[in-house]
Amino acid sequence: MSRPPSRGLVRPFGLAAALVLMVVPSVMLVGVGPGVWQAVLLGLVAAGMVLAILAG
Amino acid sequence: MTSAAWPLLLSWFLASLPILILVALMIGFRWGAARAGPAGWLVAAGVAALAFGAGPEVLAVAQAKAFFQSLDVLLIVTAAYFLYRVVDEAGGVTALAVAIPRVTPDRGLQALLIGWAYASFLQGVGGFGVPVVVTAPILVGLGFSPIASIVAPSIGHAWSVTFGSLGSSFQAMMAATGLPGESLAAPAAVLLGVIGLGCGVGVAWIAVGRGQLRRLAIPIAVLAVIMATVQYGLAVNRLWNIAGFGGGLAGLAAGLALARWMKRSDAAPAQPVDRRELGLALAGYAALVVITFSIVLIRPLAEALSFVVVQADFPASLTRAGFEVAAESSKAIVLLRHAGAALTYAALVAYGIYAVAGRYRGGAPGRILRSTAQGVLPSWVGITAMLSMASIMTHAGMTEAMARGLAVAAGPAFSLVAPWMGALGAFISGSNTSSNLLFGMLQRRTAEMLGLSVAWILAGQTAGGAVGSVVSPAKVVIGTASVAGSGGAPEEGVVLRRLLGPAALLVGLASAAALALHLAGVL
Repeated sequence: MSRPPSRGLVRPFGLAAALVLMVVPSVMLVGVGPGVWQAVLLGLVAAGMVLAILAG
Repeated sequence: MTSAAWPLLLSWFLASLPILILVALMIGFRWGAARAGPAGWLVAAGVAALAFGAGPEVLAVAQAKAFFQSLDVLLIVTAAYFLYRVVDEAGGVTALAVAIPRVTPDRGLQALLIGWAYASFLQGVGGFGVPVVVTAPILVGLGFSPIASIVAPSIGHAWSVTFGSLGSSFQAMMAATGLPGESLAAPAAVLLGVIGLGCGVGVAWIAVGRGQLRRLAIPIAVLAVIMATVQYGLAVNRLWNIAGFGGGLAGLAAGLALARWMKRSDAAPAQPVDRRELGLALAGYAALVVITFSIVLIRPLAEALSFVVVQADFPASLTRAGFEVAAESSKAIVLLRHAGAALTYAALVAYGIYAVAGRYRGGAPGRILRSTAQGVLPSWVGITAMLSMASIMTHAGMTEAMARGLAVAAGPAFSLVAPWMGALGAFISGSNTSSNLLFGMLQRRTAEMLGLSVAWILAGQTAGGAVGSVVSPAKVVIGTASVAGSGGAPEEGVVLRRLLGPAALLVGLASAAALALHLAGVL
């Protein structure tokens, strides 16, 4: 069965967005101490992982 | 079973859960690493927080460190793929596929030359994934099946991982254990030499089938002895940085000579090799060798390229369960003389050579960059997720719980277990270096506790780690991506399933060698 045309774009863009969510907060975690921002950044990384599962 | 054993068993099970789920998703459900890796991360983070007492501070330190580990690896993966595409777009891979059958029409020798000797040589100069990324498409071009084209070189270069990549895994073992290279080199080189023979047999078996093994026994034995002896000779003379490279290069030279000799003895019709075409096809990789050695050996050049350094300091982390990881700095990534930079320079030099030779059609740069981005994106996601998962497991004490469990269960038979621990660490992290950093000190202390030879136990650790690294999901993703454009390219889970058996046999070989040494009173 052939894939819908849009699926061809969803995967690379979804993976690219997931990668950004995984990497950018990880870099920012280097300079952030314990607190709310740390939890928010970890949450963004987790969101990136979920997005990768959905897009991959 | 006593009631006291249950918490220990539960701890082992929970610590292993991310890996079990990752492997189940990849093998059972045929998920790619770009999906299975993130799933493994979510499980690892959940188990670390709920069962191992890792708070947000611990997870944050682990995740930040994982970024730097990922960056180190992704630079190499991306640049290696870029180099491959530069060569492929110019018709270099096809030219090699035409030239090598002319050196030898023997399919078994072709597989040994490319999947074993050439892959080992590339491991010596390159590293993470490069041997498979480069050789798998050549084997596909020669008519081997895509799955055999990935699995054969993956197994073929395993023996040269520890002393390959300019000795980084061996350096890591020295750093982690605090022991001098002089005491560690000889046992490691012996055990890796034994595995090397198994790698040759494995390549022949995978590529041309068991029925051809007897016919190929002499070339396999000759190449195994030459490669292992050269690696050993360099390693015990403190040249562990080039031991893997030297062994691979000797194997490649001997393999080509052997192929020519066997062709003559078979009286096969001579087919001239177009030397100019072959030279052009190899230009990119020749440039890589020259550039890598120039960076390593020419001190002023190395110093001139050392002004951009990416490094970060991380605080100590402590879980609520009391597991502590000391404060440390990340590995310094010297950006302009990194292995990824050397690969990029080689790609640019190769592009210049091919452009001058008129090998590119219009729009080649766009095609090269587009296909590189498309090829590496899923690998980036998979590798980042899996290294992050491994980092969380290490900082939460999950890896330590798994390793201690193995040691307690094994007891006096620990010498048999040591290679499996090394393999486990490398399988999780995708790196012999990481495995040696992860388990090096633990192996040393356990060996001292049990009165075993530390050097031989560590040889088992790194030999197992070398094999475990080539079968790790992160490397499987890279290998699979390298033939993604060919017809019938397999899923990562299928490749992983095909790799596990031969890899287990190789680790078993290291275990058996360790047992023999134990019985002989050496270990």
